[in-house]
Amino acid sequence: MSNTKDFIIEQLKSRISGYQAEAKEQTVGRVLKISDGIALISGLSDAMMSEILIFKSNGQEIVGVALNLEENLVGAIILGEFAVIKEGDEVVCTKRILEVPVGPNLVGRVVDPLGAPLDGKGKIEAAKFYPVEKIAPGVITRAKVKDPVQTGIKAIDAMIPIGRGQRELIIGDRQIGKTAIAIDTIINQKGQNMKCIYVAIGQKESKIANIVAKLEEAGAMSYTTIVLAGASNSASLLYIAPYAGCAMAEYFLDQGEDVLIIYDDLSKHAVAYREISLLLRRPPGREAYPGDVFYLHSRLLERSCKLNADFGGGSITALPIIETQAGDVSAYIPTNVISITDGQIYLEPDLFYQGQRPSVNAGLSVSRVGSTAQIKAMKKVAGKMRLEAAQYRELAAFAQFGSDLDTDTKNKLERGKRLYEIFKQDQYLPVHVAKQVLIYYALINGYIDNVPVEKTREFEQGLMKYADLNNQALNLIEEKKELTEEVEVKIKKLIEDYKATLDYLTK
Amino acid sequence: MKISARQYAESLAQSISSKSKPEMAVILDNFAKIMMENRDLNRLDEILTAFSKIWDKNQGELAVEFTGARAISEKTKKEIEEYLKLKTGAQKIVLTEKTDENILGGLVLRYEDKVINASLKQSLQDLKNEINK
Repeated sequence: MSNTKDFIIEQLKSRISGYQAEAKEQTVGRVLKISDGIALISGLSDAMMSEILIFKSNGQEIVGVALNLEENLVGAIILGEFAVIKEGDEVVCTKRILEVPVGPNLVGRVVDPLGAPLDGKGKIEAAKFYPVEKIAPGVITRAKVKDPVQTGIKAIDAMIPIGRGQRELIIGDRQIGKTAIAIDTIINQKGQNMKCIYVAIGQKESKIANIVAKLEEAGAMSYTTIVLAGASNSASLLYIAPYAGCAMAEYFLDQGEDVLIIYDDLSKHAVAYREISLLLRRPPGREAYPGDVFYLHSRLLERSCKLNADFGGGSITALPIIETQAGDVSAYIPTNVISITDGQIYLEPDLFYQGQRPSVNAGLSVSRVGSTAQIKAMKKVAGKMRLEAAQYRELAAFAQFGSDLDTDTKNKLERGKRLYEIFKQDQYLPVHVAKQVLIYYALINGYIDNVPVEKTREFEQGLMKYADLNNQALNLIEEKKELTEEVEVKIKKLIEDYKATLDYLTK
Repeated sequence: MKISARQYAESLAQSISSKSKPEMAVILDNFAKIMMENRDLNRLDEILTAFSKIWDKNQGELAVEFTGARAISEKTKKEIEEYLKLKTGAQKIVLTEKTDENILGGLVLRYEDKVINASLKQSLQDLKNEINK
């Protein structure tokens, strides 16, 4: 007991003797004007761009960031409670650029954009502090995107493969499953050696609570960080949230790890930035967004990358989400982000309401990285699937008019119907890549042609259960990642054995 | 184009420097006339604040606000003046004194937009932060 006491006293003594009182010269300013989370400050002659400023009001210290440096004024956004700041309050420079805590201790936590915990699980010990704004890695440091991110969503992994280091936009109207795709992808990263960061920008906190519960249930929080700037937070916090999330991802990147980061969603981010810009009296442009709204998103998304082996070989894969209004992809922000990203997953309301979920539109969705980011087995079975799926929809619309169709067209239509049935997938149930290969193999080799369309999903689920029980074929696909003859024989046998147990097949 | 308060003050300071008292009176009269013509009289406060800063700077004067917990001795004052002259390169230091018991001890210096806080209160706060680390 006394040992502990002595230890504490020793520690205290060394701390106090180690402390040297020194008076530093600080640059201060005074708040001239404060409104809507924006402060105009006089003085602060040596303030830096995006420097942390401390507002001293009523004995509290409130953090702000310098955004506008003018001749006699500094315009700053306030990160936190701005109601207590009064005109004439003192503001102090800190000589530190805005930074957030990063490190392994953030994994499994829900934090605000400044890295403060929101989940009540106690203080977070940061390994390091990283600046929120950082220039993206250059050409020399990068490598080709070639390793897959398995989303576990059949339609996406087959048609729109995503690679580690890619930026794939998820775009669509409200309430048609954009977040669902992102969450399923996070759930499917279990055991894939991937850290996940979900940045919620202007989302309802109830929705985030649901997501956290779902991720915990699926065991996905053990590799996930959630950065939350909720709908009730000020525009300034919403504005820095994605950059803060990216800084946290960059820590793992620097450790040579792979990171998946989801920005949900960037339309709200653009709106928050518009609010700040207009309050700072920057001139408005199209749709009242400021002139640098393109740079706002391009500098963020450019930080996603695949580094080459000399630089650690880590990657940041970004899945930004954009919400469109009434399916209008030609609005300002959607076109901007489409042009920045390496492809998009377009979710279509019509498909969604027909019960085709996830409602991925095969024609408009594209991945510019393409099949280099697929395992060989998947490449083989899903090679032309996107084209076929898109053609089927054209054909189906056309075939509604006439009944006289040649057998070739009929076959295509029947195959297409079954393909779309297979694309259907329930939420929170990602499918392993080996199983995806299995079901697509069955489809393209005609094993499903004699299964009635309405029974296709039942057939698929049965096949997967059967494959789980007799898992040699799955293990072989998993191991070889390639459709060798040996694997094909195993798959064929598995499917035939399974079909022998069914009674609903047509002749 | 609108003339800023700073520009007014700058030009006034330039035209008035090294002039005799009667000359100054004429210049000031003219200055007031120009301001009236430009209808900028309502900004006089702003201009005067800017002017006093520019004037001080041109004359090598530095206005320093000095806060101590108790009244300070002449000797300390001298020392502070010497220190500030060395630090800022000012010719002359104009001290305004204030006492504030809340800082407990030590002193706080303010000039331009700088603060040197050597108060006991700040030291205790720093010590507290250090121990909490």
